[in-house]
Amino acid sequence: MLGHVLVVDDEPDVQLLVRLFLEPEGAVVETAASGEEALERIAATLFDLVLLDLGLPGMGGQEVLRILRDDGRLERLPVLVVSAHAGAATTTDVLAFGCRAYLSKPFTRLELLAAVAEATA
Amino acid sequence: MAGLPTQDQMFAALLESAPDAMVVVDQQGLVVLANQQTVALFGYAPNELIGESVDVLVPERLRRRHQRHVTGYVANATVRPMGHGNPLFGRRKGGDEFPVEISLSPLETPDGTFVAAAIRDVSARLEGEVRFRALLESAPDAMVIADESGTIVLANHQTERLFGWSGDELVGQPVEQLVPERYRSRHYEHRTEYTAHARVRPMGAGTELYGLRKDGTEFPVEISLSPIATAEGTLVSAAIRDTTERMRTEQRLQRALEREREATEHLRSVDRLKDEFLSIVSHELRTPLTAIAGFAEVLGDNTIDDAVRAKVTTRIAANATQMRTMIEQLLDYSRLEAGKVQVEHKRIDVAAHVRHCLDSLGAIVASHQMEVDLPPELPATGDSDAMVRVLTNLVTNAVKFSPPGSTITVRGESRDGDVVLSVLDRGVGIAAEDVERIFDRFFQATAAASKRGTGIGLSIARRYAELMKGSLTVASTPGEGSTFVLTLPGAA
Repeated sequence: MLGHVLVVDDEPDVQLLVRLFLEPEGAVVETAASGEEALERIAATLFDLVLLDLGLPGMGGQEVLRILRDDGRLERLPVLVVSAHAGAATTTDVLAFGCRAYLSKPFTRLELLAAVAEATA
Repeated sequence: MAGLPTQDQMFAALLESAPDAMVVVDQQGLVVLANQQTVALFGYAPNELIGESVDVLVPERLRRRHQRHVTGYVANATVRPMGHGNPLFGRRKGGDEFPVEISLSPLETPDGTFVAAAIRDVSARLEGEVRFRALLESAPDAMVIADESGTIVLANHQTERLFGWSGDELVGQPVEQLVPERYRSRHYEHRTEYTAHARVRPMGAGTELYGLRKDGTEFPVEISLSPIATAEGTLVSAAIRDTTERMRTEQRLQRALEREREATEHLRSVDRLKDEFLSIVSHELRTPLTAIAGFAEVLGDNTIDDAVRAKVTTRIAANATQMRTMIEQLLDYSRLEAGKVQVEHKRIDVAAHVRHCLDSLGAIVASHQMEVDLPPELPATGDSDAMVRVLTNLVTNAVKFSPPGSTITVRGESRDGDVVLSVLDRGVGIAAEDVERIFDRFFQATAAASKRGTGIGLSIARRYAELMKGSLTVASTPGEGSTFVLTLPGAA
């Protein structure tokens, strides 16, 4: 069972897609469209997993990661970075931040589930 | 007083020991005494001159004047050089002439006043001067020679050409006459110092030097100095070269280098933008692709309900449209870059194009209030395809950069034979420093950084507008919105 999942992405289609892929697995999916909104939700709710897009309007995903890391929350909170910014450099960057797994767009249902499993392991 | 020489003997010995030809003449101008040097210089036998008129030593052409001078001199005799600076000539027995310098002194005796003349052959010296002068004239540079007090003693013709002063005008003037006013006191100090430690060296040592022409104009020069030791003291010769041409060439070269650097910098920045552009395009294509591929996978699941099925089907179509728009934009862009786009200049109805375009962009403009203010028909001269491209780009741009629910106004009218179409949004606006750059390819204003898109839409729209012999401009107030204005030539 996946539990409580926060999907942070400014694309409604991606939010919908993740919801459609994860709800059948038993996840309760909430969404946030910006970095600021994501931090508010994370402060208010204890999530089992956060799917974080890097290219967010306003505060970007990397900044969200940095804040979570600096105040220590990242140690307890599994974060799966999902991004359309393909590239080895980006992957290395976010993994260096201490997030558990990385998934690049586009992805299949199985790829998403595998990454989720890796992040929550 | 035996053993002591007589005064006459002493006088004769003195005469013979003088380096110059010495002649003593009485008041009638007859030679009373002539030393050995005189005899040798003028080509006479010893004693042959005694009793002769001194005029035999003077060229015939000058004799009359000489006689006048002799009479005048005797009446008012002092020790002085003869000739008052005019060139003097002696005449040999054979009739040859040669240049001489003569100094005169009166000899008062109980028998009356005699005149002693010391005569020096200056042919060799003059020849040296002539050679020196020739050397001076053959120099490619202007040559100015000054004495220790900084007074010009000689200047060649090149000096005249360069400075506008003739050599005669310059001789006797301080060298500062050739130096611009503002440098004169410094020049004076340097010159004084140079005279004290004279050696061959360039002048100015790294500073820029200027010459002053007679007409008051200045020109850049290069000067090399060298001391000339003479019997009258150390002279300083200055070789002066006009460097105007060289400086001009250097400046041209400098400007060319500058331009090249700018061009390289521009290419580099375009290159950087292109790299960014590629990464943006890849990102922008991945996003709708994620939706399409993912939703297709969702559709493959038979357990989903009809509402979800309908929803994802619509979203697949919308994302496909978005991708198609982007790909068309990329193709447009590459065709425009390659100069392969040809437009027609035909009568088109702008009003009909706007209506049609808003229809086909229905899904995109649905989020905003569209306000259209157009006459039933608005004829312009242009190209139908190009018009569609411009309108699509302007409308999607307005949608993208203004909040959902806000109003976008499309207004068109004929004005002074042109068709003016404006698209007005109530969005983020554009910072003043970005206003022109938004038409640069790949550029997206800072405020737009988080927005979707390739950043080439407006650049494409402007290119199409210009191909149609029209223009596309923007006016914007940050925080209030932007107005894009398309102007096209009108049509009957």
